[in-house]
Amino acid sequence: MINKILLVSMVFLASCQPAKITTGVLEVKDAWSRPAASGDNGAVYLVIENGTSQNDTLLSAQSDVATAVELHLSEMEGDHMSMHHQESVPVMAGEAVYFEPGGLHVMLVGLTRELRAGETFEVIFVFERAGETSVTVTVRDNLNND
Amino acid sequence: MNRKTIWVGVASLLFLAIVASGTVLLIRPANFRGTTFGEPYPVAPEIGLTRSDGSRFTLSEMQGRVVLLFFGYTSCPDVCPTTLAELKTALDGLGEGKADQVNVLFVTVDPERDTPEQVQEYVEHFSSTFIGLSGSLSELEKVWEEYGVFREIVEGESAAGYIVNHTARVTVIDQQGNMRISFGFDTPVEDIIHDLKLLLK
Repeated sequence: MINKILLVSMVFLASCQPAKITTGVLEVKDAWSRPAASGDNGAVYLVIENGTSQNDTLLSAQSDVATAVELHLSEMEGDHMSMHHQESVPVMAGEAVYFEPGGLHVMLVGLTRELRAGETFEVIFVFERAGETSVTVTVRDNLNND
Repeated sequence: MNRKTIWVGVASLLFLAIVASGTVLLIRPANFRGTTFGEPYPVAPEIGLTRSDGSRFTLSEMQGRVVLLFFGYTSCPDVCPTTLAELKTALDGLGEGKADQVNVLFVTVDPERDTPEQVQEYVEHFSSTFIGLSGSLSELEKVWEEYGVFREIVEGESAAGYIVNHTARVTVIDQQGNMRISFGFDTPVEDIIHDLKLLLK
């Protein structure tokens, strides 16, 4: 009986841990951005999944829709929001890194054109190991219309 | 005691328990999910700033309406757009009759770059009903201080120029001009809708 309980607990605990991603590739997924006016700043949110067996690092990003593209981290300290520039973002082997509102984001500095809901644009991400990958970003005006 | 007596006893206790819990539910005061201000509710400090058409805005104009007050700046790429988009979603969730009784006020923490026109244009990307306000540094400093808004200019973090770190909390002012609830950045939209519905009852 005790063995059974132990086994069930172990299975349960194991299921609580995030599963290692073993796709064999590094992927940038679910990239989206909010509508924004030309000249304003924007942000791109996404998920990076490193399914390879080696750690990687996001070094930079580029896009035609902005005069500069930067990696930033918003942090809440109590009620205070502060934003910090990130030189690079590590993506460990088998793990995912989430760029989400109020956290990590790809900042679009000085939009060269308006971003309208439903449109898409390209962002090129540069990784230390995986190299360059072009990602299509969808502009969404609402939190719920995934 | 025979069996029948015990059963009658159990049944009566159950009945009482149901009645009691029903009463508790009925007389329970409205529970807000956001952070509430205690009674007596603090009066929201007056705000005197400039609208995009150059006219003067005062908070007292909003008497009889619910006001959602947020401080931010138009160069803000992440937290400000997220908050404004969430407030729009919350108003949509209230339905037309109720959303009409609510105003969103966005007050800049960056008057050096944000003119009243720019702030208004920015908030209208989220909803044409939102009001964007700016003013002189001294006018704004008074408002920031009275609402306990933290604001800090940080140079060298971005090609966008300086960054303004600031308080990211939405304050809810009721129809009588009292501060009632505030929502932290991570508040689920459903909680905002829930609280606004209670306030608009």
